[in-house]
Amino acid sequence: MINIPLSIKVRAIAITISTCLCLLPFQGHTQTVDFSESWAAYQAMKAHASNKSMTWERLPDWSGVWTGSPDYLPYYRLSSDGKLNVRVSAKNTFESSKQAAPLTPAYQAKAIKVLQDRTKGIDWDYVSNCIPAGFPRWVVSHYLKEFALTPNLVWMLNEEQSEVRRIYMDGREHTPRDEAYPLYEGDSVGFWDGDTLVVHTVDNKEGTWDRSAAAYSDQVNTIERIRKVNKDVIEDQMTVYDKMALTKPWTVTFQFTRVTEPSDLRIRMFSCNENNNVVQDETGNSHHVLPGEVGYKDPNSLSENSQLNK
Amino acid sequence: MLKYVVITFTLLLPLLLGIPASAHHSHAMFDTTKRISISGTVVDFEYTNPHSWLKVTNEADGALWAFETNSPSQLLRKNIKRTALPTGMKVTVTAMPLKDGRAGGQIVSVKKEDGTILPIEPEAPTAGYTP
Repeated sequence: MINIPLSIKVRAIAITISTCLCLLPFQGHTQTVDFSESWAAYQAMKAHASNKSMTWERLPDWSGVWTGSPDYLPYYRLSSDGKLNVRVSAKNTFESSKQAAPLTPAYQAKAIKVLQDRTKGIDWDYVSNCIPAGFPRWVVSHYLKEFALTPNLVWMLNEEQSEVRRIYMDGREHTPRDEAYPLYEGDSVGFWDGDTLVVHTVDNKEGTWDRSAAAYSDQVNTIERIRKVNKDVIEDQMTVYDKMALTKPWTVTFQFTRVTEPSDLRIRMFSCNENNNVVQDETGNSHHVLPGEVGYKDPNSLSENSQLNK
Repeated sequence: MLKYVVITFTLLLPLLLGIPASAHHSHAMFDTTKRISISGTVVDFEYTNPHSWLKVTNEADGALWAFETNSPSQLLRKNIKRTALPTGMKVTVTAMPLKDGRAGGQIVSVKKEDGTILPIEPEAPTAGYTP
């Protein structure tokens, strides 16, 4: 056995400890979403997919203006004994979408608190602060949507806050973990399985599915299977993985429907701060600041009052 | 005296019980069971995101009222254009009032001087809403 002098052992230990201490600050920069389960499922789908390599000639036609709807989201309300009760909109006819998010005890408690506040007339939504809805909430936003398909990149555009999802289809992996951080639309990669767009998304910010609906954590990651089922409907079957918020993966199906009236409707850039005078009052509730009141932001003089013009 | 009519709807439709609402903000500030009616002159029709606003001078007392309505693309889908409500036009606005009694509300309908009613749909559930 090699006999190492004590001074060298001490030095080795000191170097090891100082190296670890130096690396500690960088640990906070590493995005630690555990998406191993959904990634394995996504890779299995990819292994069995047909016609994965898309060409310009074979791209499906998803052109047009579409709209999402919260109707396809099974949601919770409080029963008379204060427990969570699942509700399903009449428009939601998908057998696979009758279950609301299977929440962990901590996220059940969050949902109950939001609904209890609501019964007291206290209701607030972070979107009212002009924070983007973000993904996966993006899919239930009732504003207009557009889908721009190319063989190597797909853009999904939401009118609300001009939020854009980018789905990289060129075979690349997700952003390296030491470069990743929580994003409003997450980090998405995808492939085609025939005419079905399969998308894997990670690195999302925490949020809620809708105002007064269940919350999701920044651990949320999803697999979507998106396809045009007829000329007026694009269907998005999503399996949601979230080890903080969900007890098990949750599959739910959403629809985007074509907007036909007026036929020439265009999606415009959307600035939420253009005319937003909703604030959260001291009770936590939503409150309108009216013209003439302290804090009112007149949309006709926002640019005149800006610091740039002073 | 403020000249407006408050109608309380006692027959609440059970059909709209608390469905999720994706508008930009909560409707908790509005009394969705009541209607007010204000007649006056259009000061401004702000065709803006996230909501459009109609500002009207109440002919009864000259007070400025501010009414919220849909976003431009939602109005366009009802064929309600920017030019639908020009400054100076006489209108009667029916709205869900703010619960705290200030001069504002959410539009239920707008009747123009010629009797035409704009097909605006309020974002807040119109009845049976259980906050």
